[in-house]
Amino acid sequence: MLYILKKIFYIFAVLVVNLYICEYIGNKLAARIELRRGYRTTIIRGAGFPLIRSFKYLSRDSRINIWTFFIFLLSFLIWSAVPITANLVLVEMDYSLPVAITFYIGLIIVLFLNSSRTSYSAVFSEASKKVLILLSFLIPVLFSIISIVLISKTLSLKEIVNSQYQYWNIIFQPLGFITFFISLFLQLKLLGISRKSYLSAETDIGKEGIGLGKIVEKISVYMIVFFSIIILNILYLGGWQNIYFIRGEIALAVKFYFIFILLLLMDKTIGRIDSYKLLVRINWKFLIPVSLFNFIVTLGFFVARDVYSLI
Amino acid sequence: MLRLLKNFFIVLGNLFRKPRTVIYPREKIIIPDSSRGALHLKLDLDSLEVICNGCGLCSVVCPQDCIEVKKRVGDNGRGVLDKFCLDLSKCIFCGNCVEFCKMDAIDMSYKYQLAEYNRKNLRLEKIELIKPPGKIRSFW
Repeated sequence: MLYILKKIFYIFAVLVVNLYICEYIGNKLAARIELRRGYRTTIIRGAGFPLIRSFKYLSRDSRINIWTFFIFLLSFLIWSAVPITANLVLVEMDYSLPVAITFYIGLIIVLFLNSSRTSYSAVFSEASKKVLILLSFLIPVLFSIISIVLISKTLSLKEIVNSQYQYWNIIFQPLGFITFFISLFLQLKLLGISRKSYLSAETDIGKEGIGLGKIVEKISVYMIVFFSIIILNILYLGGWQNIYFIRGEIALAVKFYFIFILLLLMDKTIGRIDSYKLLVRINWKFLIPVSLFNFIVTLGFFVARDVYSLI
Repeated sequence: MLRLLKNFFIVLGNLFRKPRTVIYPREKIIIPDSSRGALHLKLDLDSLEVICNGCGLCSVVCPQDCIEVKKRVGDNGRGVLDKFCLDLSKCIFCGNCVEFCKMDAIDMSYKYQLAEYNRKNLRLEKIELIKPPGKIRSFW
């Protein structure tokens, strides 16, 4: 029991520290990119800003609904199956990949339910359109993941990392990586990393009763970002494998922040996408065909090698 | 696609450029050259008297009608400025008055922090307009 509590504490600590650093980097980079000074609310060049911002939200009246509770629960539950490092995983199981994806989809759906105020708007509102687009971006991701699963022959994230001790999967699956990365980026674009979240566009800090709920929503979006980057690292970039003399955990952190900063830069490069038709077109005319092609090629390779012994 | 790449490198380059904005009360920038602030009545450096003779041309050309001029006859029979009043709440800092002044008696200062709580305080009299305006470009 104590062992599990210790692990929970470590995971929680890693996530909170990461959340703080990412919020700080996000604010700082966003300001620098826009050629403005950025936040200097506190003395140490804004290092305390994320804390102050969270206090700003906490000090407001909050009126939370049941979905806020589920969002909070799922955003931490998502880490029960995903190993952050080799030992830092709550539940070790052979099917961690499908479980993690299920949690991810669940979190998106709960975020959607939270954003819609009435049952009517849940079905017909703009938010439902966004969520459907968001879920359709999972199709190329799933194709890419199946290709990886074919290569690694396992559904366990830990074993996928272990199978990359010699070469990273990005070498075998460059197309899969590109589609995975782009669809991930567009998903994050819809969720809103540095800008206001698309899903929670209606809720504004000026409105009444969104103090605590807003923080929980923001945390969940960050958790989705962390989760996506960690999954990308695990599937394609060797996870916590040592790079020469660099320890695996440090290598993972470096890769994590590199991708995070890259995503932020891309987020600022492209700007706000208002045309959903464009997103749909990118998805169905580029990402899905390319990922499907990648999947078919991978499948064809294994069929030719294992079934017909051609290669 | 090329445009996106170009944008990406602009964004990347911005990380290493200096920010364009400042946080106002803490940081200061030099006021741009020939920017227009509140009006200033010039003084004759020899006699230390106002150059303006109160002809009232400035109040005529003023599009906002914010200048009020009154003149009186001086001891030597020449016109002397009696009252010069500027309503800053109306002024649009167009600089018409400065351009039309035949005596070259008024100019635009660099003084621009003009916010007031009371509207009455925005009505500047002759004494206030004579005050040294910070002619040299100062910091914020």
